[in-house]
Amino acid sequence: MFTPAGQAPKPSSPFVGGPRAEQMSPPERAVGAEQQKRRIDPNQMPSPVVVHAQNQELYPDQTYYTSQRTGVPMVNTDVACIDEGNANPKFMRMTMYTLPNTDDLLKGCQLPLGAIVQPLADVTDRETPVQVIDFGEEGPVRCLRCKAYINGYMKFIDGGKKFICNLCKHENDVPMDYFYNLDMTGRRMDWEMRPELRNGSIEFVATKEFMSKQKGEAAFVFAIDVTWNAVQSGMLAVCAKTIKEILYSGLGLLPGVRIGLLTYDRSVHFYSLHPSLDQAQMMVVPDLNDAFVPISEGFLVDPIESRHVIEPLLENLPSMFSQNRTAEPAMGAVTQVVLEALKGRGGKLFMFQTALPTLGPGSLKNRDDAKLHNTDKEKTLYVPQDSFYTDTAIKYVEQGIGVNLYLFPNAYTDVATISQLSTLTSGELYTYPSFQSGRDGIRFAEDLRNDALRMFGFNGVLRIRCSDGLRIEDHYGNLYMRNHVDVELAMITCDTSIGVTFKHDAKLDEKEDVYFQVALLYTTFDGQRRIRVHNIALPCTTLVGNMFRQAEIDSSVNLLCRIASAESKSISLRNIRDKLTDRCIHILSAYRTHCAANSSSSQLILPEAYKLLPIYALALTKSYALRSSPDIQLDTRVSTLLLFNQLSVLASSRLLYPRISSAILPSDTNPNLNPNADADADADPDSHPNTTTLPYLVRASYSLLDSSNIYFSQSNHSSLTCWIGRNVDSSVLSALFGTPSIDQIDPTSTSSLLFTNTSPQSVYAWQVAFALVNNKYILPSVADIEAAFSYSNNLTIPKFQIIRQNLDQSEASFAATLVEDRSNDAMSYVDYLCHIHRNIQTDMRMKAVDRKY
Amino acid sequence: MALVHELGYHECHKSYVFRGSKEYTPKAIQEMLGVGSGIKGGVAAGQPQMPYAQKGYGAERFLLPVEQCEFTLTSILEQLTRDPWPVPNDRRPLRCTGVAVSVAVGLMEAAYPNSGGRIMVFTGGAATQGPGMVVGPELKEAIRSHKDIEKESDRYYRKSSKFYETLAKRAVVAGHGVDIFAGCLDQVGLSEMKKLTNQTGGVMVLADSFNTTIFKQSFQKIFEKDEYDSLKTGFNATLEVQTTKELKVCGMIGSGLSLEKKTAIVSDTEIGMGNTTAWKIGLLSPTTTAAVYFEVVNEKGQALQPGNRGIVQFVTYYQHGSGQHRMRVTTIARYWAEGSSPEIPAMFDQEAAAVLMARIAAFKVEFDDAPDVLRWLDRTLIRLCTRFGDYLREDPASFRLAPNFSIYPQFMYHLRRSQFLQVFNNSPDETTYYRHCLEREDTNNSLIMIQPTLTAYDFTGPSRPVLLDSVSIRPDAILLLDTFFHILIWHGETIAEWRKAGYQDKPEYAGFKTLLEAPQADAQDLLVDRFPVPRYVMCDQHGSQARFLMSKLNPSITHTSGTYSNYGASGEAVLTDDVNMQVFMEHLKKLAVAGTQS
Repeated sequence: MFTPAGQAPKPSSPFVGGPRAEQMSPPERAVGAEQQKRRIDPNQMPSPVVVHAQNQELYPDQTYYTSQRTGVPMVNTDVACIDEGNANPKFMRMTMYTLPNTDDLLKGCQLPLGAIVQPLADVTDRETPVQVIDFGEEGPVRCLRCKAYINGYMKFIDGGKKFICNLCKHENDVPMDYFYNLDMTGRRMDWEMRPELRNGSIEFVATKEFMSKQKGEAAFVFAIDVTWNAVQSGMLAVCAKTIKEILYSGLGLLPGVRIGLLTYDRSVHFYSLHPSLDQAQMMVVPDLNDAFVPISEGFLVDPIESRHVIEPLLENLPSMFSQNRTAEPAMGAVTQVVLEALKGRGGKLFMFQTALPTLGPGSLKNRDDAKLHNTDKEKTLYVPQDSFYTDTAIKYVEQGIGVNLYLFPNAYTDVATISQLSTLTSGELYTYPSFQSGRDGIRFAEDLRNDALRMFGFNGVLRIRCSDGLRIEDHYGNLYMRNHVDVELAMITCDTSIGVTFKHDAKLDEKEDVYFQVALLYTTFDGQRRIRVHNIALPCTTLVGNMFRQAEIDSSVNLLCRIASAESKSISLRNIRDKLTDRCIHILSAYRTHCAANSSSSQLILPEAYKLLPIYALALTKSYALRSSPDIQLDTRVSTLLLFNQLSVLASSRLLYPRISSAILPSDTNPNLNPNADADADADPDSHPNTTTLPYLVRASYSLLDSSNIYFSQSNHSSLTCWIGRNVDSSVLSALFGTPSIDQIDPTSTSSLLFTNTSPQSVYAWQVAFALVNNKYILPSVADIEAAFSYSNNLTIPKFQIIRQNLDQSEASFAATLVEDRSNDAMSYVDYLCHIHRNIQTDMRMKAVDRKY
Repeated sequence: MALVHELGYHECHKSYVFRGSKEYTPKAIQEMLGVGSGIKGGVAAGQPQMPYAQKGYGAERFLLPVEQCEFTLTSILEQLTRDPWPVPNDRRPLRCTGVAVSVAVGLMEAAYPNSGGRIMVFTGGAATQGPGMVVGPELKEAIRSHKDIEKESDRYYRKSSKFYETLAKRAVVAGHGVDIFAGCLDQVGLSEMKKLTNQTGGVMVLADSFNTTIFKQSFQKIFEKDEYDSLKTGFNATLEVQTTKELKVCGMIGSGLSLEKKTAIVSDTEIGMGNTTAWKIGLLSPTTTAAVYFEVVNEKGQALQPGNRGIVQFVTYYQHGSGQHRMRVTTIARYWAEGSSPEIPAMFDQEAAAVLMARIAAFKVEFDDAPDVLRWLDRTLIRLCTRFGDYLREDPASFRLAPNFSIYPQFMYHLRRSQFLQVFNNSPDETTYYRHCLEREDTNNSLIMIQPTLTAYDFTGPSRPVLLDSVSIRPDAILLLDTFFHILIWHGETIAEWRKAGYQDKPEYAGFKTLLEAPQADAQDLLVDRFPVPRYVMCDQHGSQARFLMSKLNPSITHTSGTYSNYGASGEAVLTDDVNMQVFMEHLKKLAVAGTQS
């Protein structure tokens, strides 16, 4: 058996200590992998569960001050960021927080250099809000040369009469009305009064030159497929019900946002929802090739004013089409009419489609050919077959209309082609293959609800500026670029994120900071034009060790996902998988060479900040996007690839490695209920069950799931998976589900999980669930939960998809998220680590040989 | 855009929308509406008010008995609003009558082909969009006038007329009729759309607005029922003529479309819709008439046997209002007579002849120049007078006509001045409307149209018909003019003054009151049977509305008559350059007596 004490440099507890404990000698985590067949203790392998827990502990007061610049908390860590000049990492997260000064330095270790930008990300109450500043008609002060916006890193000289742009070093005159005296240190004396100088993130009111032709508030159009498939699968019913809930229960849509409703099968049905009507009026446009909007007023209405019209309509929709036997939903025509309807206004289209569009404009052929799968030609199936959707999407971008596609395919729908609509318009793609309302309804409803209710802006243009010596190499994400600098975002939600990679143009001065500025010009949902600016300053280094120490794994992996997604159009999947593993090996081997050259070659030495790279790389190759198994539908693959391109850092970390938490109240008397009791015991010597914070999470391996336990698993979906073991105590089941027998739990019911104030078990389960979906470390109080149910705070109410061990079929897809296990032909985590290690050793030997000659 | 409401849909108001600017093929319309294919016939109704719809395949969503869709229908009608699309100040509202009609025709021909049906078009203005547009949407563009049509300078006229003609043909082939109800002060494009009604047997009602009694009562009259509760309307009719071999059919003038049935009795001479012996008529009302023209073909060497009879048989197949298919046969037989036989003038029916001539003239003027038609009319009149008049050659004073010819020239005089042949002061739409009515109505009504009747009421005696002449204008008389299209009560100057003074309300002047009421009662009697309901006008001498009367009168006194007058001091001058009847007759006599040589 493998003994960690023998090889680890720090023989004490392997999980104590943080990256900041020592400064120069990196506290590498060493995991031995003695030749192949040795069984490795899984607890010794670096696991996100442990790393996240450690990271959480680094911020005992759950606060991070951005003036520290480096050492940003990991994305899963529940920390409030106080903006002290550098933007909150939620807005812009770098892949490394100390930059190499030359390209060679970077190339040597192959670390990705880039950032994930999420300009409208939500911040919590405890964090610094983004303040809105109105500079009047003159607009915000900008650098004359590079047009960068004023920020705290601009240096004022000449008694305050001039300022030097931090990005391009140009000397600008300070406008008369912006002049202020400097203090002894050369800082403006009013800096604390000026949010644009004090904070890294700021929002300016846009001046006339940035105004668009668009008028009014954003509009949301729901376009629902009502063909036989949609009706039969229950999609229509769930959709109508959810829209109704979105509009009329809880807080409702963002105030002022107008809504329009249309349904379609072989023709397009409009609904006049004018508040003066008693009843909605349905207008059918059967002419697909020349479809148009037949309503001038009454199509886009205020949902509150027209509630008496909309509500009955949504209730009736399922029965109205219950006898509809048509197939072939006319998707192309719908995209055309919505374009016409939203022209001059902008907004968002929610499109619910069940099949390949084969009718009217934008008809597509079924080109899926199983013979091409897993060959070099497979990549041709990842590019659009025709330009209709691409052209339409570009028109949408011009009008500031975003599209979110909800697909419910039973067969091939050519996601690669139709997804152009969402990809280019900064929208999102949701797929529910073989949708059944019982199984997938909860997830769909929750996705739709989150999608519709979150913060929304539209008609955006984003531009990233960086210090001289660096340039933007590539943009990744759902966006459209007319030229090489401006990123056009038809819509921006709080989840919209963009990946960028940077490249060195010249050697950077390691004594100076490197600056980045993200500027996003957009229209808020209520029609105001704004410019949001995020600034970051980072140190620069000449040492590989510093780079590794300040590398950021979550955003790096996110960027790798995006790169893999982009590459899929030109390289075969196998090559991408190999490249990924090679890169992983190269990075780790570089670390080995540069930072731990003296350690024994039989040791697998991982950089502290990057020790999760192997598990994430493994998860990535095992994902639906990249895994080799032939049973994956082409559409599933394509949509996962697209998903990789749009995910925020938080979402990607969860997609690749689910967060699994026990839902049963830990108790002293029954240690069996807490399988992590041993692990806890290490971290928490007095071994007292802790019910105020999130319990220790469980690693993603089926073998670690206890059949007498209940787990909540949080992946990328908006709903939690609730896994119920076969042998759960009936008293627990009674407390949670109101029935003592696992067989009597209805897995399709949305409200199976009871919330009662009386049972501590039930309260605890809900606390855990709330903590998971709201990304809290401290469990929310009962009062908070009750407030959430009455919509008086902004906590998200968790929704559950129930899976009973050995009972429900959907357990298979849950098991697939447990990435540490061996699946199909993909390696288990242990095997993968061994594989990596072997390759590193080979690599090292070759290098040693090279050096000899 | 055009909307087709789905009456059989109860969840909410559902309608199918067609783009107003696009021409749809019948197949496209049927596919889009999901009707057609394998449809069984049955009496259908173009308008849901007609309670006879049988279930056709797919079409029962749109056409169904009124009791099954009463609620939906009522709420649709109640919620109809003015088109909310904003209309700029310098534009007409967009109106796609053409597409609407074509969709209706398409729906009907798919749903109920070859079975009775009726499409009613209610239009409040000219079509400004899409196929069949009459005028462009910009107000600076004026709607076409007679002059534009004559010169073919209007961009849309020919194209639109052709479009509607095609539709009319399709409708009548499927056995349906199209009615047009116009409620607009301006023109709506009746001239372009005339084939829709004229070829299908539909009615045309021209009113200033849909609020007028003209529209309301005419519309209700369409739904009149007989004592068995069946509509008094015949559907999907075919009129066929059979004759003995001496007679050949020249053609028909009236509502309908030629079935192009070329039999042996088709004449080479074509009058009206010729070259056939059968015509299809979508809709028949009890007053629908068809003028059929014959030619006597006397083969050489075969003298007609006296006592032989020429026989004409009209066979009309139609679908009765009750849904039954019926065939009505009308047979007429007449003895043959030699050309010079006195029996021929003795049997002459001058009224029927006048109406038949009027129809030919009105038909001809659609294609030929109006002056040519007038000359043709003059020539035939002169020939008739020369042939049948009694006179000494070259002596106009000796000219006499037999009693059954005597008022024929008078009809011709009024016909020449009528709105059927003179377009002056009438818009193309009005002209179309007048000619439409002339083509439909029976002899009696047609004669009223040609020569209106004038009745005088005064204290000298009971009411009596008076000459349609300016001499009939007297200040102490009340006149009742019936032109078929207008019913006008005219108060002489003195009468009007008395009325304004309120004498009729005083018990001692009860006689005056009776006098005032008499023409009104008579007018009501006239209104009862009339379709379309005429415009009812009350006016005073010298009042603006009096122009209706003045324009019809024979201008025996005009502004040029000066002080001298053949008829004494009575009467009022009519301001016109037209010749009066006296002059007309003198010329006629002169030409008739001279014309023997030609």
